[in-house]
Amino acid sequence: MAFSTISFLFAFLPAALILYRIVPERARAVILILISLVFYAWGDVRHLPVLLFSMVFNYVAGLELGLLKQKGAKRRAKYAMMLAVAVNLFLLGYYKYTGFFAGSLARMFGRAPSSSVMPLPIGISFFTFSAISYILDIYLERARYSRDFVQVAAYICMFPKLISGPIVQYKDMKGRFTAPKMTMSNFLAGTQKFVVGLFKKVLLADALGAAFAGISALDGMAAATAWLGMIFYSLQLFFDFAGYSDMAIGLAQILGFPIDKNFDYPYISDGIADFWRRWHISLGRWFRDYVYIPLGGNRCSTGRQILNLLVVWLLTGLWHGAAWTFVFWGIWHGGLLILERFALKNLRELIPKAVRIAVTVLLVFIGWVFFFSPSMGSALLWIRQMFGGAGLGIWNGATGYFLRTNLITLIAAVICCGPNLGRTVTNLSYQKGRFGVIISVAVYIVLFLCCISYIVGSSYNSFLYFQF
Amino acid sequence: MSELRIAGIAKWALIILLAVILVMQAAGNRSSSTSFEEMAGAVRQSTDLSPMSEGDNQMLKRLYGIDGAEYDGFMLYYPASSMGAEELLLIRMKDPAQKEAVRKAMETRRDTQLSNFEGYGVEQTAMLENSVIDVKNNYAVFVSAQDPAAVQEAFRKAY
Repeated sequence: MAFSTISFLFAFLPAALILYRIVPERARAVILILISLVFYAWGDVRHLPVLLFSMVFNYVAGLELGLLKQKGAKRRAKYAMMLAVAVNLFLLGYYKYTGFFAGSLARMFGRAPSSSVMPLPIGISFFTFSAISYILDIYLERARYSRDFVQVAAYICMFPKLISGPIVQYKDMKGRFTAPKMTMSNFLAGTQKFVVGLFKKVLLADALGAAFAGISALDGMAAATAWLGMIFYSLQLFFDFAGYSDMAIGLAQILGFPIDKNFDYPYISDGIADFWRRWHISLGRWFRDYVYIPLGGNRCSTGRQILNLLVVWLLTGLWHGAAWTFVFWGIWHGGLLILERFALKNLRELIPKAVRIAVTVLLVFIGWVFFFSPSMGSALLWIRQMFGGAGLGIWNGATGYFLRTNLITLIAAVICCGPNLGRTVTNLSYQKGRFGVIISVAVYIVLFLCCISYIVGSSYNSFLYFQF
Repeated sequence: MSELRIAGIAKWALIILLAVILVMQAAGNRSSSTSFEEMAGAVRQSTDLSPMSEGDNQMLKRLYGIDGAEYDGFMLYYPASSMGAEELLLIRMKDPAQKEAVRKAMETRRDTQLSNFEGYGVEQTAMLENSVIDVKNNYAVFVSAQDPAAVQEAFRKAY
């Protein structure tokens, strides 16, 4: 079930919140698990066993690992951790990468790839990473194992972050499910975040997505149209995923689980490293804590650091999807980071900040071309068209049409990429006197009503990150 | 037995359970290599086609809202008279991703027919209620006939 649907907003969410509110605090985690399982099964019940397996297996594996640690059986604990992580990765790989690797092998040996594709359980990349975090936090002694199944199950399956994150780490959530509190301040702050997220998704991302779909459907593009398409998609992806994250964080806060932000105005980053401190923060943190640092992180030779970065970025690319385009996209970012950290270290400070931001945005946007293209060939074709490869010139009628019909959305999206608008509305809430508060509340109510009228009047648009 | 031992046994039991489920799922998810002609022949022989007329792509689009050109093959038999509820559709998918669209089209068609006969066509309604929709990885069949189980059996045997 998606957050931006009428059935979620006016049936599931109110019912879930009422149920969650009326039960005693100690029973809330159990209710949260039940609500989350209904939420997961709503769209497609077939994959519920995969989620249930992940919950039960990781509870049992965590219990065994914790007991071994307690006994001081280091070697056995290491094997238990490796087996638990391997089972989680196998489950993820089985559903997500079987087709990709089997297809690549078949092509390598000159055979037609098999048409048998496993349907991907929604959210598997996210809840598997949460589960691995539980196992590794116990092994690395960042958190104690839990004897209470409800604690582990609620952490893995809590519905706000189940399908598209943020990927919260167990060490940050441990103990929070014992007696979660619903407070008025959390409710109001969470609702505010939820409405902002809904606005980003429904009014910005979906409109940008429609514009991008229109451009993608063209047989050939003038150079400016291809650039415009790339910009539309880059903005759509940001508002789609950041919108989802805001809604998820808002819902978690309403339920009594404040979660750190997942996006921090990434399109005003002044470098690739800065971009990854602002984009999908929870994923970057996961790879840093569970892959990069255990590999040696920065505390090793330059050569080893470069290798570590390449491994992390190859895995980041593959995590996003089972396709060579995602592998290339990961290496593209890894390569740029290596270049920025080692080759351009001193040069960077000499470049004005505005230029650094512009170059970063350009490089990130070009990376998204590989992200949205179904194959390497079509990605390269798109880039060729950005430089006039289609033979339709720099600008044609289609360019003017798409720019004219989407200009307001584009301007709104560009403004919302920066912090100023949000800051202004927030400042109003803290102004002395009631006037600012009334205006601020009115803004959120109007935004919500606009979103609802848009949802009612349009067909459902899924979230882009559901496919991962 | 110690808690550690119980946890260890439970862990391995879960891993074995997972392996069994995945193997069964993979077996159920396999694509059939049976040719469309072979499958169509087996299905055709399993039921009486006399109360039906053979349909082309235009009829498929009209009744089911799907384009036969997007599939590896299809065989459509639709009611020869307006009071008939006998119908047979066999489709071979190009891509398993088409499964859900085909299933939905078949269900919609069955529901439309049910609402057409509701209230006055008792026999037709019963026949449609007993109809079978069977969607596999690369084949799907919808049959509304006197003996839908026989068609389903032939379909599964040939798959």
